[in-house]
Amino acid sequence: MKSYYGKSFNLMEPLLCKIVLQSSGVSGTNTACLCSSGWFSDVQRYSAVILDSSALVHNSISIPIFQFSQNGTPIEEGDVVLIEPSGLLTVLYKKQSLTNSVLLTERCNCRCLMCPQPPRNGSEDWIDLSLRTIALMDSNTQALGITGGEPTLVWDGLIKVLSACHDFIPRASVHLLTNGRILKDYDKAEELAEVGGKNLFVGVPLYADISDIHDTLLRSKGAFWDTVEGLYNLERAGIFVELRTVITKQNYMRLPQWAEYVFRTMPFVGRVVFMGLEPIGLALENIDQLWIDPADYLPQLEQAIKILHRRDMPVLIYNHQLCTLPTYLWPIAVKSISDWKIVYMPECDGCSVKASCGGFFFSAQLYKSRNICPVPFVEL
Amino acid sequence: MINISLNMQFDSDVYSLKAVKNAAFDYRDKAGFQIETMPSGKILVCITPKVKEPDFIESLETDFKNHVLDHQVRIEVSAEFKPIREMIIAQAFEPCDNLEEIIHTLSNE
Amino acid sequence: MSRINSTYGFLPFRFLRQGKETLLVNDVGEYYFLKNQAFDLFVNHELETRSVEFQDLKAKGFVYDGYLPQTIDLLATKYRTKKRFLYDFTSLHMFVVTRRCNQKCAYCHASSIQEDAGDIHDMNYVTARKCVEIAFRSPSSCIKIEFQGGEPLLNFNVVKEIVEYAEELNESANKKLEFVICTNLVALNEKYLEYMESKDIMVSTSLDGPQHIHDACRKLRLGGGSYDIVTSHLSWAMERLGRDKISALMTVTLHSVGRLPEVIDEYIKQELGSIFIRAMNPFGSAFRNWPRVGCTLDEFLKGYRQAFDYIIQLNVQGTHFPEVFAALLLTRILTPFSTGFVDLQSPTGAGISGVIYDVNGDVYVSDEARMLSRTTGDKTFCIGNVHSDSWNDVFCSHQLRKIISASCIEAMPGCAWCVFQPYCGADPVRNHFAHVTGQLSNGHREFCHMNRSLFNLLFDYLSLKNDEIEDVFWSWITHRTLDEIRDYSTNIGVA
Repeated sequence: MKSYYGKSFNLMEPLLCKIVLQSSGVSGTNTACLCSSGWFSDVQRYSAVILDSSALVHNSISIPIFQFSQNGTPIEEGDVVLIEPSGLLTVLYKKQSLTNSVLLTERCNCRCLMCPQPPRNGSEDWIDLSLRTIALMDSNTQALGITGGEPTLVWDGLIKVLSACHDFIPRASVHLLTNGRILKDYDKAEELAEVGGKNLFVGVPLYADISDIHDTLLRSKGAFWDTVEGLYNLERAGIFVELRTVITKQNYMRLPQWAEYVFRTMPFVGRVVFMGLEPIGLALENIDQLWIDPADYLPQLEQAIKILHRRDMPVLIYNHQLCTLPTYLWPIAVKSISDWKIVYMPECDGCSVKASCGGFFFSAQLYKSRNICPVPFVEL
Repeated sequence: MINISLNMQFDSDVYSLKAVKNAAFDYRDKAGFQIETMPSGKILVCITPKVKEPDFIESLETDFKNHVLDHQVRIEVSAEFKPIREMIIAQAFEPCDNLEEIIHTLSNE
Repeated sequence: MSRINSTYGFLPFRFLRQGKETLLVNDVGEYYFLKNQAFDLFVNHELETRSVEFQDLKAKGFVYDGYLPQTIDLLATKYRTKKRFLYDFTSLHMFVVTRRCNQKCAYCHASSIQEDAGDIHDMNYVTARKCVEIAFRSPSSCIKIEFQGGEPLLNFNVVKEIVEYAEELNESANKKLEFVICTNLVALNEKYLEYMESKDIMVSTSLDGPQHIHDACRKLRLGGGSYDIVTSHLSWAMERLGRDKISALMTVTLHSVGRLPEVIDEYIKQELGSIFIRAMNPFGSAFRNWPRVGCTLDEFLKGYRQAFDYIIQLNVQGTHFPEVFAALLLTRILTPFSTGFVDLQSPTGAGISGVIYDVNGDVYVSDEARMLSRTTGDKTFCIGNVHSDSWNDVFCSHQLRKIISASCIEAMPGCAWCVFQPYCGADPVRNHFAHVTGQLSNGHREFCHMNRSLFNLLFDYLSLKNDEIEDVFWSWITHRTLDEIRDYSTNIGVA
């Protein structure tokens, strides 16, 4: 979720609204009109008005106003934003993006060594905000992620959110990210299936084929077996499971064995995803313990992928730049980083495949493979 | 045709009678067996090969001893996992929710 | 369950020492090669728990160090998955539509009789319909009807009757219905072909090899070899029904055992997609003609190994061509899934996975059981007759229960500790036959030796841990070509 600084006027409390253009003719509660050129008379029919930095603010306007400090207005019609009295505008939903997500809570039942979003216990949950955001989303939204912390910790809220997705964005594939531990209670898995339906996809991380390594990375004893049980219940309930692993110094050696384990133990998973480490949050704090150059774990990664592909299991690679992978694996390397988070390195200028490459996380400047280099154009 | 017979002794403190019998069972096509237990604690085995190949007869003593040893390992290892094997099959076809309780009770016996 | 001073405990497994390594197989069919020294440490509770070997053994379910209830639960689920075939109950229903045959194969185990023997040797409409009714009483969600004989094409009217009545009953039963006809193709004509095409009937046929091998044993009843007409009708059927609807098997005899690669070449020439290399069954004509056409088990095994090596070479070079039985065994070894193969299961598939209905409505637990009866008159394995018995009488009978409970190899000496047990099965009919005749096929011993040798062959290949070989094996198991196995753009994760 990207945030922008500016100035707020006539605003006492945070305001959630959907961006509309004057030309659309849409107005009313929860709408914020994006004024690109000048003022107009019946601006009061909107909940708020959004201006660029050069516009003049009229004192006579009593509805909330937000003005960007920098040039340009980086939001579009259909976006859903939260404007705060402090002068902060946060984009909670971008209509044009396929990587929107709602954050349900920052609480978690694990303390993963590489957590990109460090848990904060005692902080409030964001159910109400999520529900209101979903209600403002475009009805043709194709995809929405549900994240945390651990979303299943706010169970009733999660069910309400899934229900809201069904009501307001019926065409969207809803992707719930969870460690699945709470789903070792089959009733919960069943409830999830009932309210989520065919549109629900669940992404679950499993970092090793043995509990020692997995539990150590999660710093939570019993996590491995809870998750395995949760996975079985997801299968029983008929929910699509995307099994993920993040490759770190602790688990890269057993990647091939993990691949075999996944096939033998949970052949029902809908998809297996190998993820590169995102050096942010706790992962950045603990980077020395975790980081291994993709160039160094490539043999194990290749072997693991081969094991799964042979067995006709769907496999994808996330968060790996194309130059770190041999070309035969490019078909399964996905542009996985949320569009608002992608950056490229200076080395990437002149790379022939930059457009299809997933790029880097912003924080990867310091932690990137030694093999990063532009892929040359090939004379045909 | 001279019938060659091999005589061997197994210390019953180390090798159970069951291990010797099971090993003999595996060899039944290639040899005839006479097994006796002595009050001294020795198990006497008399092997009469049915197969005349010299290779077989030459290595028979070592091979059979190793075979008995392997069976002894099987018996000891099976004794340890037997309750688990039974629980797996029971849980497979008549699953119950209180496995933890059952295991706890069994391990206290 | 007490482990004296140990950090870890064993989960159920069996083992076999082989040269420098020991092969371990656990109760759910996962295997592992462990160096002998490491194995000795392992069984003495002295294997280092931080070693790769220990971690591998733990992940694969050979050892645990904590979380026993969860481990047992997981293994139970895997075990149930492996025995899934039990839940389907009887899904294979074989119909002997006639005992008459237009061929006179030297090794015919079905004791077929001449073509003009009259229709008392045929299944009649009434019996056929009763058999279909019994078949549909099976709780299985999938019914596979296999037409056998004699030569089923000689009683095609009853074949049609069975297909149509089955479809009629299926309108309310809603099961997955499949038809296969086991035919020598000699009597194939346009009418039959058209019908088979319209009803999606698959064909299983016999081709023993190139002409001089095929014609050595598979002769027309009116005289002469059948190769010319069989191969001609084979390509006709392939053209009309499609290559994937036809499969072929061969029976190994004295004539072919030393030259199986020639047979493979013939199969490739005829554009067949796979082969099932079968040993002779010791029943019927085979029993009588054994000295003339039979080979010893060791000869068969040597020939099979030569054929298998040749098949692997062909596959590595790019021709997708599985040996069907090996592919089935590999599916048992390499995947967690259940494979229903009635002739090799524990408990035996006889009766509970497949049955055969004789022309007069007698129900036998397997084709071998029927052949036993034809050869010796022994009806131990006949579990009823469709005219006099209900489904309950047949399938819930004390007799069937007795047969099944005596066929669990988990409890048989020799099998109980055999390392290949989780992949193997029992053949109670063959054992019984050996007991009764006291000769020729030594029942269980030969059955065991055969299966053990095949497993040894496959594990020899697996122990090489060779990428090319593994690609070939998986191309068989997943029904894909080698190119697809190696091309990641075909991966179904690619959206």
